[in-house]
Amino acid sequence: MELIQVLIGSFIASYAFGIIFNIKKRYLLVAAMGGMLCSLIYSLIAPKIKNEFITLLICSSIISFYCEAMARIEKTPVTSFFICSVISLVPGGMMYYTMQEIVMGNMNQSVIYCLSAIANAGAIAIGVSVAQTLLKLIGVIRRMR
Amino acid sequence: MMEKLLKCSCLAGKLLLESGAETYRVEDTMVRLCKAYGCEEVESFVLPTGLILSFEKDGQNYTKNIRVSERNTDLNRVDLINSLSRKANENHLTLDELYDELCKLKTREAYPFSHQLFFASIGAGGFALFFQSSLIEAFFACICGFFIKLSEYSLSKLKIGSFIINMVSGAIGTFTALLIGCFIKNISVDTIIISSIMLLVPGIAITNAIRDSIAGDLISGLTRALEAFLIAISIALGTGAILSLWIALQGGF
Repeated sequence: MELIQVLIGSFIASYAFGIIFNIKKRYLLVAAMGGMLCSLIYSLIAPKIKNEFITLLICSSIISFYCEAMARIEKTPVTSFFICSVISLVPGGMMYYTMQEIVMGNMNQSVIYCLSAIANAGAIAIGVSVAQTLLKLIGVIRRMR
Repeated sequence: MMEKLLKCSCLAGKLLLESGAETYRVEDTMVRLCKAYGCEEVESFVLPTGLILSFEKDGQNYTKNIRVSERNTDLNRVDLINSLSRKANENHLTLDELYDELCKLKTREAYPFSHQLFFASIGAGGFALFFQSSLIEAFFACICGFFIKLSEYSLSKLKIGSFIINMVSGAIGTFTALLIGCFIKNISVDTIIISSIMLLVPGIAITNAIRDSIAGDLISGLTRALEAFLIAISIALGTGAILSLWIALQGGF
C-alpha cells in the first residue's frame, strides 16, 4: 500500500515538474512514467543496499538509460526527460534539515546533513555520467566492428 | 550577410542559455549553425553568464559577445532550437527564415501561468505523498505549494533578483505551513514544509553543475555550483528566519 502511494506521489510530482519546466505535452507522460520508475527502483533497492549514495547512483543510472532510450525514440534532448524523472530523488529534505539544525543551534548535525545533501546530488550526477559513458562506449564499439 | 549569421547564431545561443541548456549544447549549436553556412575556424566559448562566438569567412574575422543575466528552465524551447539548428544544417534555410523562426521562439508562450500554478501545488502534494505522508498532509502541502509558486511568480514580475525571490517564497511557504500546524493538530509540519520547498530547491542545478564539471566545462560547472549554493542559502535564510521567529514566539512547533 505504501509503495503504491509513493509511486502515485512521484508520478504526480514528475508530471507537475514537466509543466513547470515547460516540456512538450506529449512528453509529459513519458517523463512522469520515468519518475514513477525512479521511485519504484528506489523503494525496491533502498532497504537492501542501505547506502544512500550507492542507491542513488544505481537509480539515476537506470533512469538515465530509460531517458536515453526515450530520447532516441522521440528525437529530443535527454534533459527534457531526465530532469523531470529524477526530481523526486533530489535531496530537498536534507537541505531543509541542514537549515533547521542551524536554527536549533546544532552545528555538528547541520554539517552532516549539508555534506550528505551534496553527496546525494553528486551521486545522481555521477550516475548519469556513468550511464552516458557506457552508451558512448557501446556506440564506439559498434562503429569499430 | 555574415553579420546576419553572427546575429542569428548568437541569438540562438542566447535563447538556449536562457532556457537552461547545458553548456556543451549551446557551444555545439552555435558552431553547427555557423558551419552550415560555410564558415571556417568557428570557435565558441560559453559560460552561464555570457557567450563569445567568432569565425572566419573569406579572410574576414567576425566576433560577437553577449551577456546573459536571466536564466530559467524552458526545456521545450531547448528542444525546438535544437531541431531548428539541425534543420538549418540539412535543408539550408535562408538566413532571413532562420532569423524569423528564432524571433518567433523568442516570444513563444510557455504553459499559461494558471496551469503552472495549479500543477505546482499538485506537485507539492505529490512530493508529500512520495515522502509517505497522509492524504491530509498532502492536501496542506498543496496549499503551501500554491502560495510559494504564487509569490515566486509575482516577485519575479518585480525583477528583484532570484536571491530575494527564493528567500521570500521560502519564508511564505514555511509561514503557511506553521500556521496550518497551529490550527490542525497531529500533522507533521516538517513534511509539509519539505514537500512544498521542493518547488524551489536547486537539486537540478547542483546535478547540472556536477555534470558540466564532469563534461570538462569547469568554469561553467563552478558558476552553476555557486548559483545552486546561493539559491540553497536564500531558501535556508527565508525558512530559517521564520522558523527561529516562530520558535522564539511560540516556544516550539
